[in-house]
Amino acid sequence: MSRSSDKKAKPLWAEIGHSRPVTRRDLLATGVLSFSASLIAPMWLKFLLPQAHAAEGCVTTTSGMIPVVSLNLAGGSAMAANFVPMDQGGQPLPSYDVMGLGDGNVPLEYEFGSVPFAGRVNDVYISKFLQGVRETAPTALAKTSFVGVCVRSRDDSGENRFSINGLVNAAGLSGSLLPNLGTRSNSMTGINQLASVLTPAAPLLVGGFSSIQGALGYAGALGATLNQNQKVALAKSIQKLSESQLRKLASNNISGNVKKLVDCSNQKNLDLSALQNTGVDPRTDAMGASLSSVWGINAGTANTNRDLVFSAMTYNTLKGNAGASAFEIGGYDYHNGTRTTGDAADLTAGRTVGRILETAAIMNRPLFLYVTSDGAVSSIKSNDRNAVWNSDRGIAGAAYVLYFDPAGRRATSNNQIGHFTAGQAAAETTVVGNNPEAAAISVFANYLKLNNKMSVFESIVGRSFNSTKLDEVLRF
Amino acid sequence: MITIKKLKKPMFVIIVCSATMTLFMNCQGSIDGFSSGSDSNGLTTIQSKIENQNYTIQSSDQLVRSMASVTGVDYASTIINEYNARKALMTNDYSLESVTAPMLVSIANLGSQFCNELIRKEVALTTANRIFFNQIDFTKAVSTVTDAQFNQTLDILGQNFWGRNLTAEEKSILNQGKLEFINAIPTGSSTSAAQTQYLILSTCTGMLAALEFITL
Repeated sequence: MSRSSDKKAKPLWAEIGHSRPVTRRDLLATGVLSFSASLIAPMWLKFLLPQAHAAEGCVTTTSGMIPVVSLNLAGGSAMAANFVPMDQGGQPLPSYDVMGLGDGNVPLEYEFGSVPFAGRVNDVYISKFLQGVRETAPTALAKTSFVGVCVRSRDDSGENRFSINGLVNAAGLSGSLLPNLGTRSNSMTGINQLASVLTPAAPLLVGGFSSIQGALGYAGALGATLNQNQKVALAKSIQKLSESQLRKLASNNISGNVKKLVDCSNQKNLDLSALQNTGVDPRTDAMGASLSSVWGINAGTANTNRDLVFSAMTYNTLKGNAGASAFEIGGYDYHNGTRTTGDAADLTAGRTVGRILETAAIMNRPLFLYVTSDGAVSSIKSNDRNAVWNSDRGIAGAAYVLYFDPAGRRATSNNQIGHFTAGQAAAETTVVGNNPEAAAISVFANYLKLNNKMSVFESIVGRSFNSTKLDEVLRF
Repeated sequence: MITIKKLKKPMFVIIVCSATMTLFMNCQGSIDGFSSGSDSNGLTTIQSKIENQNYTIQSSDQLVRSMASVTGVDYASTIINEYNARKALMTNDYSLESVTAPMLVSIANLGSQFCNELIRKEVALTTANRIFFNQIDFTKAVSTVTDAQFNQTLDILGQNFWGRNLTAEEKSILNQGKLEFINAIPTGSSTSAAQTQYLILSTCTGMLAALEFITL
């Protein structure tokens, strides 16, 4: 017998000396493992209904949770010198002279209801963050709540456990098409923060808009070789093969539900093969003109343009296509002996936050926005309201929680969690003061409260927070 | 009588060996560029997840290893790049609950890179020395691929990818796919030998992305 005919008769596993594959399916077929179509039906329901563009009669499911976007200002932003933290009694600190704001009589401006921000001197904003938000979120502000979290964190570090994405996923937030989205490679959270309590599944890294678009279409070796109709043919073959294999497995006890699901999968197959317009591009949405205007993007915007990336991530998270989104902007380790570098970075942060909120307003969707950093900065000791930043100072750290509700601004019991001390630092005596992970859990608790899902808090977080602690941190 | 309990030990062995759909892979260490596939709770959790379900879907790590094993191709840069770009879209918790349409697309895309490498590898061999595509003449137009040659190729792929020959229905589906593929060839390209390669690429990819391959 020739070598070639030997090879025809022998599969690779035999050629290389292995035994015949034994699959879990083989065990099922021989009765070694039990099989129950009724038991697996719920699992297959999701498999056959991937929730995208479902056909008539086929269910499209979204998680129903409030969308979550996290923005990380990497490097140690002066967040407590934009939002102005108060003492335990809600009064201004005696001085903010190492926080870049001068003495205790900081001119304040109130936004998001009654939240104090560093106001203006000679009509020039001290808080560039506030300036940026007001520039870019003209309609969203009136329906947005804000809570400042007074929390110390490690300077210039990726080891602060600020991320809540694993927690919100555990609570049920998921995307109908895409997983969580992130902008930082080699990070399970998508940003330079560790996860609090639960590590989320790896996010889809969005280096450019094509990362989102490409996730939904045939690419790889197929992208440049098969034309659209050939891709359709392939998608049909895959779907029909899987359908046939499913029927074989469930042949003796296929339920009406399974049959319906199989029918629905045919529609899904067509969707899969027609992925030219998957509804992930904010520019092609019915509200595309408004969204493009907010972000300053258009059809010709470069693929990796940050505003295009952020707009697409925000859009898909708000739409329910994606799970939680986590953006990161660098350049916040800005203690370079000037105020201008930091002011420019804070203005960018404010504008970005404003655009995210305004996107939610345009789409008429609720949004939970969480802004973090790693550490903070210190100014030279000065009564100047614009003293220069000259060193790291993580003990004066803060995080922000913003909640946009299309129905109107949700009331808060207080606009800060924790407080600052006369020493111009986040008080260590509070639940959140010296522990980013506790701060993240507090933020998550507020998220659950807004979702009316406090009942799952303990099952997700454990018993680290008793009711007393919860009372201390819940603001909604 | 063999019970689930009696199966736990072999199932655990499978997991420890970076369980794949088939049991013929060598128990191997980590592969450069790929994660271990284990979660932070370790193998016990994974074992529990697998044993508590009638079916599980292969994780991204298992899929890439399975595809490498059944095709016998090395981890080319195109494969690694595709894997890195797609792994977030594949499941790593073995749960069918986590299956999404983009996940299936991603598996097909990953599979296509393995098939592309497999074709490249086999095209370089003489017909007699090929394992998978000894029925296919890649220098001729796709219209020269007979039904018999195509079906024999399907059986070879079936044996290697699924551990069995295809059913008549499966063959019918893939033959229909072949027909639709050929009908979709643009005018003027019908005599191109490249389309033969693309047909095999598409067929091979379809079989790696089918339910039979991706589930445990």
